[in-house]
Amino acid sequence: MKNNTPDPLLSRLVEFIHSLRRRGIRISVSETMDALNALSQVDFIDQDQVKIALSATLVKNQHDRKVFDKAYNEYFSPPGIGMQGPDQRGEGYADAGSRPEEAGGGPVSAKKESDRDWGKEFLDHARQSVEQNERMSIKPGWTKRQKNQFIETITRMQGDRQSDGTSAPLAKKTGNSLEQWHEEVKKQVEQNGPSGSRPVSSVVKEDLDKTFVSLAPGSGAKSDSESILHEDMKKIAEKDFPRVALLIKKLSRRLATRISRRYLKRRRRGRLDIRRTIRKNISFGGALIDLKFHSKKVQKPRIVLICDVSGSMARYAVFVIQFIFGLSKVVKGIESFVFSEDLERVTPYFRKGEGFVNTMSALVEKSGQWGMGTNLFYSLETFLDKHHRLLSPSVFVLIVSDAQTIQPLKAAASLKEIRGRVKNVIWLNTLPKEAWYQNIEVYEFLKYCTMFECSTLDQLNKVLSSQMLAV
Amino acid sequence: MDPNQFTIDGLYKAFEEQGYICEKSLVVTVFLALKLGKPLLVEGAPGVGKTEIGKVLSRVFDAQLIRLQCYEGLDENKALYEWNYQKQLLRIQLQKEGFSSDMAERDLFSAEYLLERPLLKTIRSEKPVVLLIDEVDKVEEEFEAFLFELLSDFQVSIPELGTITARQIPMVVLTSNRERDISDGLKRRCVYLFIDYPTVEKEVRILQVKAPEAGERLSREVARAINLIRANEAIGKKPAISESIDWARALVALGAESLSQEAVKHTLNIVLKNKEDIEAIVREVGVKALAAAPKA
Repeated sequence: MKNNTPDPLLSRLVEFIHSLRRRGIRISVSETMDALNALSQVDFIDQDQVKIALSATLVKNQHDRKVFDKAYNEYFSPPGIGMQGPDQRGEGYADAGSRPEEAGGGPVSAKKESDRDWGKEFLDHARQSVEQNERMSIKPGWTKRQKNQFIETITRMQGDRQSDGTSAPLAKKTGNSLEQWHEEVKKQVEQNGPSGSRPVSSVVKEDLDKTFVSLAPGSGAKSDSESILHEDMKKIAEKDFPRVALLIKKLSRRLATRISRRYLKRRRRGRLDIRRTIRKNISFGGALIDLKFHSKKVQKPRIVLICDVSGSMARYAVFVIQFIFGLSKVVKGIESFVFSEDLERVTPYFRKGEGFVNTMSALVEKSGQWGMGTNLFYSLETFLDKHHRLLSPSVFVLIVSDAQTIQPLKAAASLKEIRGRVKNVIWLNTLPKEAWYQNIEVYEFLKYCTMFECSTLDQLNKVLSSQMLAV
Repeated sequence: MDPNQFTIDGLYKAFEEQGYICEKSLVVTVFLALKLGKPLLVEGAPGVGKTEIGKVLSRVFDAQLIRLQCYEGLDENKALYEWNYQKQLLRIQLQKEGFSSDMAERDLFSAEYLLERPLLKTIRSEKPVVLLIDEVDKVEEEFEAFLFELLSDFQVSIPELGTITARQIPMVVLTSNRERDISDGLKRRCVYLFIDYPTVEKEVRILQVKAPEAGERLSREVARAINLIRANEAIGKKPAISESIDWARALVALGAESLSQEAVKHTLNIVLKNKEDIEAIVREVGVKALAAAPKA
């Protein structure tokens, strides 16, 4: 009969795993057992091997790896030493997952941090002015100075990959856990023989269950990128821009990959494809053995983006346009427009093949619409007047706006006309859903479009995924 | 090397002998996957040496390499098994014409009429094998789910034949370019390894092994320039390790002793394979920055 006291090594491991779970990493019981097995295979005195054994079995994506490193250093570094980066540990175990910049003998960086040291006061001023303008439907045009400020903000997006932001303090340290762990393992080896000779059995699983029960449930805190994903785009701090840019790139690329698939896998088979079936079965003497079915071809969506770039929307617009910019690499023929007091076609800027930052800088610099007031009616009329040829039954019109405009009823009439000529009008409203109905105009717009709340990157990704891939 | 008896240091040395230059942390992860009998899931950008791990393992352990190249639309028939319909029909016809002896229906679904595809071949192999499931992110989620049974229990079910269990646990390497997220279920069954682009130092070592004719100076200059190119976010496709090797070889072929501005201009297309990327690098980094400083 097994002793009821949980294995101390296991308890330590489970505590550590629990701390990882609190940081948002999903770890199953089977992975915990793998970790324990892995520990029995490595040299326990070598901290690097212990760390690799735990990370390879517990952490299954690169983003979580960073969270793991932080947690591991918190949990296992001896008091007084603090966190050690991989470059401080000497040679031999350079982190396989680290960026070249992080490793010793580092690479040559194309930019210096000092080059991006730009006026914080100036930024705060611009931010305040944007926020002041938020509730106004008509805003004064931006000055050249403000435009420059905005361009600088966009430029931050190509900054250093590594955020210099200080993270929130992690859970309190458990002290010199590895030292204690070593001591316990030594004792165990003396009592039971080497751990390598003792396989992990079902008894261990019981231990695991026991230990899990003895620990309090985690708070489910989210990791950094996760929190950015769910943060209001307007409130994302400038220091996070490079990370956001990478995140958007990744999200849009994933969506683009899904859109680019030629066929859609379906649960139910379609109709029998007689022609392909006969061709396939000629080699079987005409006996119909291998049946072929019609599969639905994915229609790549055609997108017309109409993005509000008035004062209150400028921040959102940059993120949304960046997302669409990522999609445009795969989905051909995306037409993009910005509007505030009038509509302006900006597709040519995106076709120059320059990077996003240069494209956006040129756009903000040359466009007369950034930071002006909002007149959706006038803008949609311009669209119908000059660009109506773009409308067809395979087109999705994507409107990004907070729906705060003058002449809303007339705008709704224009929207109705557009709706009748396209596959769908998807409206991404940056205001929270509860706030929509404070304006009676929204009811009019809702008649002719599918409106989604979209103030975070996660919402943007979900809406585009669900709508663009809908058949 | 004996698949049942090896050490981390032994494996590290064997990898180096096979020309696979890597950090020890990578070898520790591979070691753990082999010792735990778990598949190794390798993620990373294209061209960092993910597929090569499978190939090197097969050479190190003198095992047969069975490769399943994944693509959109890959299904069980192409990955696991298929019945040899032609042979079955021929047999039926022969029996009809009286050329063949009596035969029961079950005979038609025996091993004789089974066409082995890579997964079944792996399971039924009696000798050590390395199964390389390449670019697993390209297949649909349904196929991933199908892989679960194989990768957790190393057995497959064929309705006509029953369950076939592996005669020995194969070494399995899955690679992914992270075009999409692999499902949690599949990840849970694997030991995870992420490979990033190499540091300048590591790339110099790789170049010295793969293109020794380039010499240390040119290798270092190429590695430094490649690193600068990769650090730039404006380019669409970052150069792979194989491209830096090609670059070094191309420079040697042109008789260049050093990476001069002229040499960069003439050979940048070896590293960057589209016009936009070349223009972006020339504009944002500049030929001068890529070229080595002239010898004092």
